[in-house]
Amino acid sequence: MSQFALLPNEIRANVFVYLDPHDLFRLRRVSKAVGQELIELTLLFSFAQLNIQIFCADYTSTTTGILNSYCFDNLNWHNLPTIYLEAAILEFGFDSVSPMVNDRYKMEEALWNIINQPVGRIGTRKLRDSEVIEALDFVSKGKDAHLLVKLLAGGQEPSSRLFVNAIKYGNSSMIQALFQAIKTPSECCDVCTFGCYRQVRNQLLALAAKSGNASVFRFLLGCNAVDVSYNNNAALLAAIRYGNYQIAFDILEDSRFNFTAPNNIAREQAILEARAKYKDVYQLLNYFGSSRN
Amino acid sequence: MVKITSSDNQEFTISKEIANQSVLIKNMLEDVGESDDQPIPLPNVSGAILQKVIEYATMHKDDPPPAPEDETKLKTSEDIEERDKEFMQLDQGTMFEIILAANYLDMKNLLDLGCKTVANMIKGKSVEEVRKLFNIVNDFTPEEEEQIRKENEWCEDR
Repeated sequence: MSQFALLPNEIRANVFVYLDPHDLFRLRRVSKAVGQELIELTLLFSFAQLNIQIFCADYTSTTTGILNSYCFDNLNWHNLPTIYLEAAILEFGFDSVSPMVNDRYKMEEALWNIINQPVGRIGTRKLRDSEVIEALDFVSKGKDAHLLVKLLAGGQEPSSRLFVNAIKYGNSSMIQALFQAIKTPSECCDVCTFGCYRQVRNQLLALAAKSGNASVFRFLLGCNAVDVSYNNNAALLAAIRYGNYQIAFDILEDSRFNFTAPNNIAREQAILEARAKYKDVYQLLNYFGSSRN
Repeated sequence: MVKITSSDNQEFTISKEIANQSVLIKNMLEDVGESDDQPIPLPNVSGAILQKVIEYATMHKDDPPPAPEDETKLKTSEDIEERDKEFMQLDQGTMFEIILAANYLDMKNLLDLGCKTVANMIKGKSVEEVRKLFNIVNDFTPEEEEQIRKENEWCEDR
């Protein structure tokens, strides 16, 4: 019996983590037990992250701590599990792991190729906040939002968490890319708290009205099938409560919105709230209230 | 001084600095108190292996505590001190027993050293060489092995 095989799994994992990521796949042929163990390990994000860190440590200057991008050139990103890419992006940032070549980031190129494979190799791990922020930061630098959406959504419908974060950070290009990534908007249901996407848009509209980012709000307002009066004018109430004059103006200006409808129960509430807090918004409501009568 | 006994009832008397390199022994000492003269039993480690572990701990007893930045700094498997490399020049059986003892005694540095040494033994070897090195039986059929080889052909591309 092999003494190596008698070591506890966690100790063998401690050995494997020091190996070149490519070797972990090559060694799957050693035996069925070793193969199975390596399959499981290389699908663990924490293992992949440590494996990448150790691999890249060989290519990091001991004096300056600067990473030599050669370590990324030396890995076959097209075939390594996607979690290895995620680990590298999370660990080193997109720009540092992806030096520009021919006006395009190398990692970006690799990501495109992976995403465009007929059968995507997709991780099911849920995104962490830091990853979402990283992605949004990436998009804000003018990089391709669609690429990030595809990567982060893992070949599935993008989760509402991505939408919410995109709104929170006021990233309209990301929101646009997220909406375009929805394959069947009318029928698709998300498992998250927002329910169906049609409803998500309305919820997001209210969220954007609260956040006060006018460009994001206008993008959402321009979406098909958005109900500007959804949930008793939740979007307008949010804009008023947070004193977002421009957004309140956009809602009131929208032809789909009827502020003076007989059953508009939010009207009195909105006027009271605006009068108490924001004079300019109150005057705006009065103007639209009277002009539409 | 601290007394410890191995699985084969060999007794060792070691200094507290050496004993404290094992988190297991350190915790035991804290639990029983210093006045207790009873040796600490270590039923999972033989006398021969305990002797080697003590040798390692003695070699490192005057090491300064790692700086905070060093603790988080990742070390590659190549990052082994020369004296540790010499220490690990052992037959494979003893080496694996030391790794198991380090795991049991909760001696992180020795465990890391063992794992790095094994990783270095694997590096650069072919699948067949790794099987031979660790006496692992190939339980794949030729067809299964060929299929896995094809699936992972990309490993050879850089």
